[in-house]
Amino acid sequence: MTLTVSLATLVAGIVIGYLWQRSRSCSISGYRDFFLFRDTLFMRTIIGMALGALIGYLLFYRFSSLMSDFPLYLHNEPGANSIPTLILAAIGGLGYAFFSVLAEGCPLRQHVNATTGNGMSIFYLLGFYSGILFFWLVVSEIAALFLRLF
Amino acid sequence: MVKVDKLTAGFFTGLWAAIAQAWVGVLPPSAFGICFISHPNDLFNWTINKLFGTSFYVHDPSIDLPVLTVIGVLIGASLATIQHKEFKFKMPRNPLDHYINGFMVAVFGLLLGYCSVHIIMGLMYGSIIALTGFAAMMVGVTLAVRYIKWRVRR
Repeated sequence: MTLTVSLATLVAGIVIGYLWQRSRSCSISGYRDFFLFRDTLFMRTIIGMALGALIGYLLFYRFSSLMSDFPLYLHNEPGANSIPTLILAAIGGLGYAFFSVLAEGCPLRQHVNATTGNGMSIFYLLGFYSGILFFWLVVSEIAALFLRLF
Repeated sequence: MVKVDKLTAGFFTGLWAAIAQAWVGVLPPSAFGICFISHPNDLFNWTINKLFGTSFYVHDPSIDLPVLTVIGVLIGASLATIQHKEFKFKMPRNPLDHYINGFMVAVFGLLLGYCSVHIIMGLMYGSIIALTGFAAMMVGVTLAVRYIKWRVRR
């Protein structure tokens, strides 16, 4: 099963990478351009994702046992009743969006742009993977302490 | 020259998340078909764990073999770049700024557990945590836009 998952995600990633490179898509620029210029061009990616996911979930959940918890709010989502978890999610969401707008793109777009030789994205990715390491060495401990305190 | 509409690219991405959940078994957590915070995290931590014998956290689908979305995207985007002869290295003016932005996005993204692609899937799947994160994201975008405007005025 894990080999299937790895291979399937690899193949899907190749298709998504190709499509996002050719369409210059981004999942954060849509909001930025809308708030900044009322421009809705990049919102098309976000609308497409929402439609694709919603149609897919609605189509498949009747036939797949792996979707027995759909929709999640009716199935006691882990952590959803915990205020500290929601606070951490809110802090995370705020910071993620703030720095993604300053970076001029979401992580997926930065990975795609790096393949075109965009130095901005290459330095972004160096920081991104350093950030993952820093999170697990330092921040995760602080977050766990915060959850234990409340 | 191949051109792809943003709506099509987005639609396929969303549909893949549903297929990954329902038929491939990329879970738990639910709605985990695509995430550009958690999937890079899993690949990176899995590699570090194998190389150095550490035990950094990876999600369940990546315990034996990691999810390879990141590698796939890099291959797919490289193919498109090569096909259309679009590779051109450009050195940024302030590399440290971009390094810091990437660093902060990873830290805050891992705190949230979602990226801006994954959060749409979470919302469509009915996640309360995704809804909270999404609302906070909109505040973050608003603050960043105000900051950009303020910086331009100065």
